[in-house]
Amino acid sequence: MDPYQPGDRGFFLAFAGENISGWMAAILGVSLISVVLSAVHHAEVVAHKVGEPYGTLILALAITVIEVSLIVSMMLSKQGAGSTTLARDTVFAAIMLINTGIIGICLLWGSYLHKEQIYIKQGVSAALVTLTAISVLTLVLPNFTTSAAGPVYSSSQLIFVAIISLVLYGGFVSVQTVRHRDYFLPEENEGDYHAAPPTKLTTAISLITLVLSWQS
Amino acid sequence: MLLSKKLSPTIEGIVMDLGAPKSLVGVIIAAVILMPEGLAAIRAARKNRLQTSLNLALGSALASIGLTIPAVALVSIVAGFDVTLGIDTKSTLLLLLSLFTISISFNAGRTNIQQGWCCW
Repeated sequence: MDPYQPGDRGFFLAFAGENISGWMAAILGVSLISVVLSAVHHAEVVAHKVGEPYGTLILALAITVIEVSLIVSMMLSKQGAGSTTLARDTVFAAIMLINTGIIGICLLWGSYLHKEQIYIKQGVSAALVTLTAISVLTLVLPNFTTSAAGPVYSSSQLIFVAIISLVLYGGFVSVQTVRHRDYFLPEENEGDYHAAPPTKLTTAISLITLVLSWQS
Repeated sequence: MLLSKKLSPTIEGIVMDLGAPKSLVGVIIAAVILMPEGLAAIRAARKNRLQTSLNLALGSALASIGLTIPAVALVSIVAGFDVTLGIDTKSTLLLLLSLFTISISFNAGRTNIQQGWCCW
């Protein structure tokens, strides 16, 4: 359509895309971020109640539900060029942000304050081997398959890879929660370990709010 | 979900206006979603509870890829459109480098500041 002039009000309105104004978009953007934040906060409350290692599992599942619903709704609402790569871009970005950004800052800051930090090797190793297998299988291998040209899988390959991903992730979750729970339990530090777990009422409210925030 | 549907053209519009690559949309989504997890992980690392940090960080990475890919695959087959999964060569190299450095770093059983610099 008409060219947007950076710097004036038209540019700001241009952010609005198709049918909403700039202010509306800004308000929606802020509310989207706050919904995400509050969803994760409520997930944290529920996680705190159930304790490790189920707590981190619930948190991970909560953000994944948000992520998947965002991606799927964006893919369905705009089936044009570009949205076919959205899932890949998001997943790749998430992995790189975690692998280099979050873990890097954790190690750097943690080791700056505490010199050496310990963790349970077996648990981290199980997570890393699963992460390596799934990420190479889903993000790298499609470039080299010949059934469908380009960086895509054919339908049958896609189903196969989807099942493999689920099996590997399911395997990791069962290791984390049942077979080798102790690999993922943090060492009890003196004193500052946890605040008192929330009451049943708080947990229930959080759970309901969590489900509600997924709907909005 | 309704909010995100309203907003998705907006985010795409901003990214397009800035002349940034389309993949930035994915980066923005990932960053917004991971922000609370990341903050919790960093908080735990500062309190010398690295195990919790790693559970949070690696757990979200695994859930993110292990569940998103099957879900998107299902949607693409049911709704009948292609989904591009392969990343380009440079991204592949970066992905493998990050996995490699992390694997080496966590091989020792305890971490010190050098691994922090390298991973970061």
